[in-house]
Amino acid sequence: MATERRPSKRKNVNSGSEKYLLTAVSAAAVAIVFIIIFFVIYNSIDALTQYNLWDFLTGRIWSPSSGQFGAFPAIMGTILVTIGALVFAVPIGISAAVFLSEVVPEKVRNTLKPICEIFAGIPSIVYGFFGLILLGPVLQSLFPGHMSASFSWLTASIILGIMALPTIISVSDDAMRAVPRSYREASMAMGATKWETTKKITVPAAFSGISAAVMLGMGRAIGETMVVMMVAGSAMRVPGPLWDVFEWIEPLTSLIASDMKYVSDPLHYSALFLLALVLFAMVFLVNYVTRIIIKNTKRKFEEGEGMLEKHLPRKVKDAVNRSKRPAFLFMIFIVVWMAASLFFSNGVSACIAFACTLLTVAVPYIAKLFRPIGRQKIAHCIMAVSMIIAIGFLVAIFGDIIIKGIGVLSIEFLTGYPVFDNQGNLVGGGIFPAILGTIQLAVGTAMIAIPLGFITGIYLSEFARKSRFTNIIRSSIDILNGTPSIVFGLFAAVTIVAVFNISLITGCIILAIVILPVVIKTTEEAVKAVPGELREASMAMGATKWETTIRVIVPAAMGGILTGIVLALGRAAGETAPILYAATVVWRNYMVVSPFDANMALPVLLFSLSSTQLGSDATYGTALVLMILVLVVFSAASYIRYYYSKKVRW
Amino acid sequence: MIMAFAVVGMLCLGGGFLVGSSMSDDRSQTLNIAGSSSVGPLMTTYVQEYSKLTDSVKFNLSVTDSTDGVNKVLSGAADIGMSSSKISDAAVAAGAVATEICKDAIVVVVSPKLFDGGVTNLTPAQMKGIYEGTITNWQDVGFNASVPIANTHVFIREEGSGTRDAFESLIGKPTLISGLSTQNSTGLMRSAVSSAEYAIGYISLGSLNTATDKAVSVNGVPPSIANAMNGTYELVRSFYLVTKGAPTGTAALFIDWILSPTGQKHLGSSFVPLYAVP
Repeated sequence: MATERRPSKRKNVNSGSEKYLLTAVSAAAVAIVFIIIFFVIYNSIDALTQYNLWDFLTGRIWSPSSGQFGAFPAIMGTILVTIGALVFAVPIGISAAVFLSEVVPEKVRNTLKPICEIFAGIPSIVYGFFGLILLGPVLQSLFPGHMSASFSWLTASIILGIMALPTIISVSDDAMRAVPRSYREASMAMGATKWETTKKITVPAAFSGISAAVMLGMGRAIGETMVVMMVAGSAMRVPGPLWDVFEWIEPLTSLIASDMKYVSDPLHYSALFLLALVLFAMVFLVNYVTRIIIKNTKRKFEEGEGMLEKHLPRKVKDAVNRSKRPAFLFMIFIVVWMAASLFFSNGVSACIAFACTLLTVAVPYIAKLFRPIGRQKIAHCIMAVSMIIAIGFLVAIFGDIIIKGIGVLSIEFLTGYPVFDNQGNLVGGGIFPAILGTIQLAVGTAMIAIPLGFITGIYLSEFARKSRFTNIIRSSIDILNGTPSIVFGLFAAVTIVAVFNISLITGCIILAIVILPVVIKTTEEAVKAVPGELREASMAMGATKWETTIRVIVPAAMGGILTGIVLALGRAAGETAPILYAATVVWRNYMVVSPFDANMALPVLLFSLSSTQLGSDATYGTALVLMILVLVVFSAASYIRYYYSKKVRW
Repeated sequence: MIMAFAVVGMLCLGGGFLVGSSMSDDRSQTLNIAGSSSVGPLMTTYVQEYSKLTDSVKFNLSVTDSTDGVNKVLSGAADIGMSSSKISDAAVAAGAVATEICKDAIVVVVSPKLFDGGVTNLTPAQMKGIYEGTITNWQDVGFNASVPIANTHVFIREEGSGTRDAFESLIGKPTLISGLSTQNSTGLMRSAVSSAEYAIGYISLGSLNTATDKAVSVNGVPPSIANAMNGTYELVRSFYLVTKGAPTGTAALFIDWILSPTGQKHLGSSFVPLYAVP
């Protein structure tokens, strides 16, 4: 142990052969990041030079066979479906978060929050299935004459909104929890009610965290592939009036995914990479704006004014402040008018919009009729309703699948081989190869991603010096983390698939790339959370930095690291888009023994079943098995967290 | 040191995984089959039946579309490609050989509401008119009420689809209205049309589920195996299995079996055999 060593003989406690190993592995991880970014850019050059960028961005006809690549409808599709999701998820999510953090007793919160977090882990393919089987038909019957089929921009937006809800609720709740108690106490001591305190103190103080939550949810909506592919209608057109939510759209992600199926022409390939680049740019923009917002609100809170306001002359500032309220009212008018014009004539919708605007103007006056405590009650009621809506949707998804799927589960279904009739329907046997395939994928992914991600995380947090290079590494990992998974699928289709064909190992490599940034990040965060005293104490005993890391830091951070890894694996098990056409087959007649054999996977099976026999028992059964598998992984994660929180204390 | 051991252990595990399995790889021949989602379901049956006869062949079946099937064969990623339309001249020039295995009728399906309202028979010219946007009201094709044909009523398959290729050539290469909804597989097309209020689309007769899908007659002839065989039903195309060069080895045995009377029998009541099987 440390006593056997003679530190005096060492010139530098930092150096050692171990460090080279760490550096080499981290360099490999970072190289992967750069290769992907480089590859996407490199491959889109063809389309950029042979096809006019302006025509690409504004053209409206996408017809690869005739050499026309107009991506405008898809770009609009992504923007519209994301806006729709936010309009749905932000009000519900934030008020549910306020309810969770400020209103309900601690005990209720402690049960509701983990439930929310579990929903964040349900594979998107399950949400898509829910949209097709339940939400679409319900909306279709609610709006007869508007929705001819169960697809629409509206259906896709609501599903994406539901998917973003757990993230928005959970992160906003954390942000509000982080507001110091003293703020609230000071406000209450001044005689403010709980609701007034929430409205005027807690929420503004947590604003940067809440906007980060919204942006996280937004990032997820932009990059989602399976849901939009299944329920958005896949029509490459710009909606009639832009706000016609019953129209069908094709966002960038689903365009890439469906074209990947048959692309062979090099220019078409290049155009798909250009689409991926556009998607990249949109995600990057969202992240950049988030950072500015967070920075600005922090400043506003600390210094009383934001960056923008500081540089503006007072006159402009006053004008901005004065026009805030009219602008808000105008926005209400426009939004209501847009929504109403889908159902009524222009005149009638204008009247409705006017009435709603008047109502908004009147709200503060109406509120004054109540006593503060009455206002608080009304506000709490509204928040409770939001929470019920949020949980209600999630319970509906779970309930529907459990009720209809539970009867299907049998020994034969879980261990048998599928038997299809010649119309492609699963008529007997079971889904064993898909279950096994998913487990094999997860294990293989872990074998690649964990060593790479774990070592890189340790290197970044413990050994890397603060330099421009480290910053570049960090931001490229962030970019990779925000990259829609379909981009990795596209990347893999021309690289990994070309080498390994459709096989287990192809799937593992793709999924490992998808979860690599998550593993790196969680390792880094967990290691960072270990108190500095532990390091100092260990070094003071004469241990080298390497010994300290291995014997002290890593064991102390193990809970966080393992939790992160298990969560990442849960994500890998449910991921569909990147492996859909690149790494899995729909049927095989043997057990996979070699990593070069073609593989089946549950999410992909669910996708193909929901296109051939949507409401069938087999489809529900598959959805249920996939959900159970992912839930098991998540419970394992929370058990690990619990176990280590008891074991490790400082 | 623990770390180093962990890394070495991981690498060994990974290596062992690779080596151990590549040894068992030679145990049998592998046939990778890829392509059309119209041929896919039929191929599943063939693969299942063939697996009962022999266990020396490993089958991998992936279903995308016809163009992808041909591409994968040419690139060597698949041994047999499934195509639901004639393969392109470029593919033939590149060495692809297509073997016809059966015929299939393309069925034009409409939503239940349209079918019940009187849209039960269409001519190829009417279909072309609907897909080109020159026929603008469902009443013009026999519906009992005046409902304009919206973009959202007309479904197509993706460009790589053999069914789309065959359908469009059979009705005279329409210039499609732009921005039509693309259904990415036969299954999606079926569920989209049957769940919609007003919709028209096309699928393979083999995938037709008479309980939910409403198939229209063409020139007064309802789609059926018999009508396709005697030539009265017009929208008939062939299914092909594509190989790089003439089929050899395991692939040849498999394809010959499909062409044999035993193989043709498995077409059942869904597809049109190449010759009358007893």
